[in-house]
Amino acid sequence: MNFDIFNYHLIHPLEAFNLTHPFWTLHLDTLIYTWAAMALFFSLVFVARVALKRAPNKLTILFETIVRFFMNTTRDAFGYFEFRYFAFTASLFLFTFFCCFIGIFPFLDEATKDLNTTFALGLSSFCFVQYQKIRVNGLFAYLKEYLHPFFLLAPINIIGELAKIASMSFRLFGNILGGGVVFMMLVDFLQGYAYYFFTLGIIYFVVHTILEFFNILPTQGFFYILLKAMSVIIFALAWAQLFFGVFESLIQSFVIMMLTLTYLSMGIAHQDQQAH
Amino acid sequence: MINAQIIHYSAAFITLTLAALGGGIGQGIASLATIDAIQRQPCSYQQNFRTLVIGLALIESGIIIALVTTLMIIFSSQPLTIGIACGELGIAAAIGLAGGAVSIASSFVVKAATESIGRQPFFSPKITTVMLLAQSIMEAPLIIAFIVSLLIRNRINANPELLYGLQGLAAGITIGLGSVGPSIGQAIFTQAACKSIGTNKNAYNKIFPFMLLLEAIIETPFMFCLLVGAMILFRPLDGAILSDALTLGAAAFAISMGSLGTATGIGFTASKSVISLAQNPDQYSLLLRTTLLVAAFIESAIIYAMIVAIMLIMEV
Repeated sequence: MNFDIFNYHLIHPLEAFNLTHPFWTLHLDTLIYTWAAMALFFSLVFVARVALKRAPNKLTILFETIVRFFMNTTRDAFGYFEFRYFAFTASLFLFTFFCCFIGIFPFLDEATKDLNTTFALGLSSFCFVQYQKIRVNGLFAYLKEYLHPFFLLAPINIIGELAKIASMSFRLFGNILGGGVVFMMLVDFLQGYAYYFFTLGIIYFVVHTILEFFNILPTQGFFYILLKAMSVIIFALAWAQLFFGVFESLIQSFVIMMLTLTYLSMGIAHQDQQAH
Repeated sequence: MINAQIIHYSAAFITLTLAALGGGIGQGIASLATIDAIQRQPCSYQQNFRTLVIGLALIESGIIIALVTTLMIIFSSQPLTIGIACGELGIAAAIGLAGGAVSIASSFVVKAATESIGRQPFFSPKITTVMLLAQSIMEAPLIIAFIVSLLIRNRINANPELLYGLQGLAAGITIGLGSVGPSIGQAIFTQAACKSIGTNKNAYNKIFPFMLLLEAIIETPFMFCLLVGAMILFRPLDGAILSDALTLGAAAFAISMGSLGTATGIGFTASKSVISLAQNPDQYSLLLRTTLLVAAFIESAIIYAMIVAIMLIMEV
């Protein structure tokens, strides 16, 4: 098993200007995965645009449900709806989700496996929250908040605020990479047997389809147990893929969105209480 | 005098003993709670008995995996060296600790589920589904520990030297000790979730997604442990000396001790909020937001532990 998580294909775009410090280096793999995620996302957006112009059907209801979910989440967090918060948090969620989700396609990996991507997400969320706090509270009240219990605690407040970036980015990084490690181990473990599992899956599919077509699916006896056992093994493999591909990425992007919303609503609700 | 034989045979018995201890205690807790529930509500006998049998079968799987691992250790065809023996001790730590902790933890879900069925016998299919789901999510550390132990075995069979054996030991301790905390947290939380479905069955639609989300968050420390464990196990050891193995051990302890308190703390918080959710289902979004925020604050401890562990591994 080849396991080295800090091994990327590097390119130095500004080498001509003698800028070869790691800061000026690009991770080619991550870049390609992110572009693939964005391509998937924009094609879905295009589908949504076309679908929403037609008469309501199942597809439009699906897209409307997704948007309404984000709107309701924003409304629940603040008590009122504000478009700029909705726009930022929804795009944060969707970008994170597609960056994680892209890993279930063959030849592609999760873009969020790279610490640089997750750090950028954490940093942009942090900057947005700080900017909105300044915009709503005013610069003076914003700075005053750092001296909150009394002025000696200002360094601790600042460190606590900066630690949010680290915890947010490392949480996403660790979770997605951990899921990737589990799946890699599973594949590595089954490497010798993967062929048999594949054959088993095809046999199960064919047999089940034939029996179902003639309406003679067994309900007891040895053959029934055999079919059940096969379906359980195949189901377990599919479940592992589904869990680490979709469920984990949904949860992690939801956590990132909720944390941003909560930090935001804490910083702004404080202002509301002072105003009254 | 410690030699390879002693370590080899202790690894074999530690695996099975720890898992059997946990499994025995767990099955006792589950059966006792079921008998209690049947005594309180005799007409729920059928539903309760069915749930108990499914629950006991899942608790048993920890002991079965430990048995398979023990046989794998004893009937190994490789010539025994001190490195292989150390690696086997790592396998024992991973499977034994994970098996014991997971078995005891999943018994508490069965306990709460049978109590709830005693209260709401006609709601038993939904409660059993919740219990099964909770138990199978809880069992993930055990299955992962089994896969990791097979990988440790492959690695030490390929390189039967002391350094590689100690590396396997560190990886095994990471997985084994790291699965204890998440198991405790899961036990506390899923017990409260099953109980609160029994209290207010109309809140089932709110409690079910809440439970799934929070279970994944309680499992997060274990995912970090797994990540660090894999990094320890697959660290190339070209030109490493014996004291580098101590660095790997330090990384293992950093992450697994970090996961112990973190997961337990999130479990306590989440259990309180799921009980409040059953009493007041309308406050779903408020409770979810508060719990997520608190969980994020508690989780920053394990994230710092992970940063330290990764830095220690990069030092080697």
